Amino acid sequence: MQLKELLSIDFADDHPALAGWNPPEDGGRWAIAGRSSVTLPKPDTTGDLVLLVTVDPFVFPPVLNRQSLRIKINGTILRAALICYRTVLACRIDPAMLTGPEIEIGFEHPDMVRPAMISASTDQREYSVALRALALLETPRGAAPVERPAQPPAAAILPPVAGLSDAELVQYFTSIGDNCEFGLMQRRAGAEPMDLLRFAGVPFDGLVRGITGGFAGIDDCDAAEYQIREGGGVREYVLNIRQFGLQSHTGVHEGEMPAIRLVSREVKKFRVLRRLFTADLASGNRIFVYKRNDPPPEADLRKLAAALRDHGPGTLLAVSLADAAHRPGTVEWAGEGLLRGYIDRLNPYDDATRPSSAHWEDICRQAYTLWRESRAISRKNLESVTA
Amino acid sequence: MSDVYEILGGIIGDELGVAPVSLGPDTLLADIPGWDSAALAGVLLGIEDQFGVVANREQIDGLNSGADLAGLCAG
Repeated sequence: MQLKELLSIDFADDHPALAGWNPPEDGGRWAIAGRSSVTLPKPDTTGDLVLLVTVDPFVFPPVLNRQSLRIKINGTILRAALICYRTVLACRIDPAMLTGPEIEIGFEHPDMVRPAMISASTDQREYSVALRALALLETPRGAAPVERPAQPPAAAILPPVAGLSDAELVQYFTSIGDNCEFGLMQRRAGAEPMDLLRFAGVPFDGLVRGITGGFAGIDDCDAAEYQIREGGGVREYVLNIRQFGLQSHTGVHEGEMPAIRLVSREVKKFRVLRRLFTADLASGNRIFVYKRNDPPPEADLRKLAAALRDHGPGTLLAVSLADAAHRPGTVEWAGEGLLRGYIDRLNPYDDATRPSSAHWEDICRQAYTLWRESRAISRKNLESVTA
Repeated sequence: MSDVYEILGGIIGDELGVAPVSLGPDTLLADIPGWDSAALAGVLLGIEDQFGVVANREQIDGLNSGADLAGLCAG
């Protein structure tokens, strides 16, 4: 999707279009009361408009964790959001909302609070949200991404495991969420596969829903929020797609690039990654890895495996902590298209970047071996039927 | 076919928000400042638009150099 900037407002600067905002402070403007607005002339364009706003919430965890925000266009609600972090919101504007010669962008933020009410601060002013930047972007009308036909996937020729380096081996696996631990293990093994959920976390229900629908819509800029998260001394944009509850690292740090470029490249990235994911689903040429730190219910795993197999001959490798009956590093078949792997430890969710267990390699080698055997048997059966 | 490298250098520059990148067959993509998976995705879509070819996973996983990208453009 090509995004072109038509106009932008830096809220640190004076601008006649602003109403209901305090003077600039720390690169943005706090709203004065429960409502504020920006009124702009309607751009002369034949394309669709996308509104991009960068907003700060007034929060004081754990007492106050979020702020409600409603964005309206000429009185019609465009987006309702709960803002917990500095966030870039991208919202596609329905052309039907654009009546008259002007666009009134209204902001409703009812959770006004005085810092003195919830903290030791003596500040008696009321705060809810601050806007830092706003931009109107243009995208060619009706510019739904061209769905290029994926090349027909061929059944992969699988070499014996002994001939595979670690980097080659882990390329046969693709993480389907929970967190980044497996994706980082692939990096340490020397592989950088382009995978949709490699650096993402998705709750179980969102994952099943996403797989069932081939994650349709994941590359729509309207679906996303980009939240600034702090960790390890950096402030990184984390993509949050509410439709699936998906959160994914962008690898982009605050200030590294303008918001329009961030959104544009993430939309493109997810378009390509989604296409590769659906091709993997159809071909079954890679093993889908699902890890969980808590013991996953068997029914969940069967549901997930079934969702994968609705698209093709996919195999799920579910990895969880070893127990008395299952030694670390072992893998076994647990059903059609379902491998269970057991590991000695999984990184805590708040520190997925620490070196992962060495048993991941054992699990991958065993899983690959079992999977390769089953693929060979399937192929022989197919050949005997068609002979 | 040196034009292919010029076109690709332009696509990469567009994607990275810089001037056209000097690209040759031996250029390692990982050595291009700012190169990452998002840049690769944008370049792949640029190649699709320019050359009408859609890369599959096997091709994408094997992209390391300018020559690999140029090979992709040949279809």
